[in-house]
Amino acid sequence: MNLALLNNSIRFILLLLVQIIIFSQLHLGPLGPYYIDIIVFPLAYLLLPFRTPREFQFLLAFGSGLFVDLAMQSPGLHAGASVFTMAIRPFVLRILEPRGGYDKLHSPTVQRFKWPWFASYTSLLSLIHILFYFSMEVFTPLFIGVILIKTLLSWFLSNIFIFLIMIILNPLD
Amino acid sequence: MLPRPKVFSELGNLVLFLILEGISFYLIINFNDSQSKIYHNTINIISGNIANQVSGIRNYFSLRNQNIYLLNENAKLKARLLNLAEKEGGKAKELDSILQYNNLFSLVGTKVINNSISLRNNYLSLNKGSKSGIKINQGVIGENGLVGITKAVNDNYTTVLSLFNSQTKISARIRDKGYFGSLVWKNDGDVRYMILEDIPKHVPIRLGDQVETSGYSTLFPGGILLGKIVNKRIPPGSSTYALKVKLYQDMTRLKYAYVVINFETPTLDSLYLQTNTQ
Repeated sequence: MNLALLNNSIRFILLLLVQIIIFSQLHLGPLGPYYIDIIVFPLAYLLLPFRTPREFQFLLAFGSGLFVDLAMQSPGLHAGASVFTMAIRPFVLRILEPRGGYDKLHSPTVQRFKWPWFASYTSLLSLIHILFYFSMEVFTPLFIGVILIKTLLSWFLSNIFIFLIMIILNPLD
Repeated sequence: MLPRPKVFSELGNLVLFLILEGISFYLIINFNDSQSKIYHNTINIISGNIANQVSGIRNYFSLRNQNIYLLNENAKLKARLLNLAEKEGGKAKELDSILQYNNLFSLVGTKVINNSISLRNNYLSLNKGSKSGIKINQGVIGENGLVGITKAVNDNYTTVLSLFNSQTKISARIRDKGYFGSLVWKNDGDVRYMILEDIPKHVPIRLGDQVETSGYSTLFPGGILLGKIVNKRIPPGSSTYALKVKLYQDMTRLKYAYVVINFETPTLDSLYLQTNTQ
């Protein structure tokens, strides 16, 4: 129990640091305005155990987003996206619910649910986070094309890195 | 077993969610440059449309007052015309300056469709925009003095940074004496008075002296009467006056405003640019 808490805390902080130290410094893309942001830190709040109280889920999502925002000088963008994604999480969990239901003590990890489930879970929710982020970044529906292109490119690359991180960490809970 | 997944298991969670998103949105539109511009422009369009509708309805109920107002305005203009005709025979020099003044500036008459006076930073909306030749950073005057400076413009509406705004600073001088300073608004909520600063304390000031625009900026023509001095005071430790000026323009009843278009601004701007780059 306490070990899981410790593991979760370390993983949470580690993912945020990796995001701001490595991935946020890369502005990839030869595409001019269609640059790519690699956004992996949603994994930090997406891996929170099911038993985490809902209030803490929201607050941790908000806090992690705000932390990355402050490092990237985009106040509010990631924070809003994280909180929104956290609100969508129960829907996605319901869609992906396995036959036996969820064990309240578990976390949504590869070890617990295998790759296909985990891949759908993170890719769906990271898509929501990234879509929300770029919508807020562009901030006008007039440039819906820009939003979608940026979202798809960043989503694709981000997920590759999310899976790599998951292979490296491979946590149980 | 996980209970049936619900987004908000309790009302508190919904409130928390809304608060957090509210904070995020507040941060986005206040600390990100492009987002804040887009936000203000959008609000400008929406509120412009709504205010125009409301104003249209309200106009029916105030036609009588408006007629009186237009009558007064007409009377003033006619009086000016008469004065001009008088001068035509008399002093040729003054006529020259008036003609030159007419060539330098032109006015776009607009209706005020939204006006705030109770906030710390106040804004107005006008019912004309770039289609009428209005651009940002142009002066706006009313019947009896200044109103503000244009801040955002779209096709049909303009947002004006009101005089009663912590960012506003107007170059003004004392009529017939020539000493100039800056007119600012201490946001104490009183929109009848502004403070004229930076006048050195050796200058003889009499209560009742009139304050006018200095003409040192390209926004406003010089010599527009703004108000009169009602109180003089030297703040302790300061070498300049803080003069309380009672404005002639009553912003609480503002219905029409004129945007000043200065034909020389582009030339002057390029001159300033040259000076800055040297």
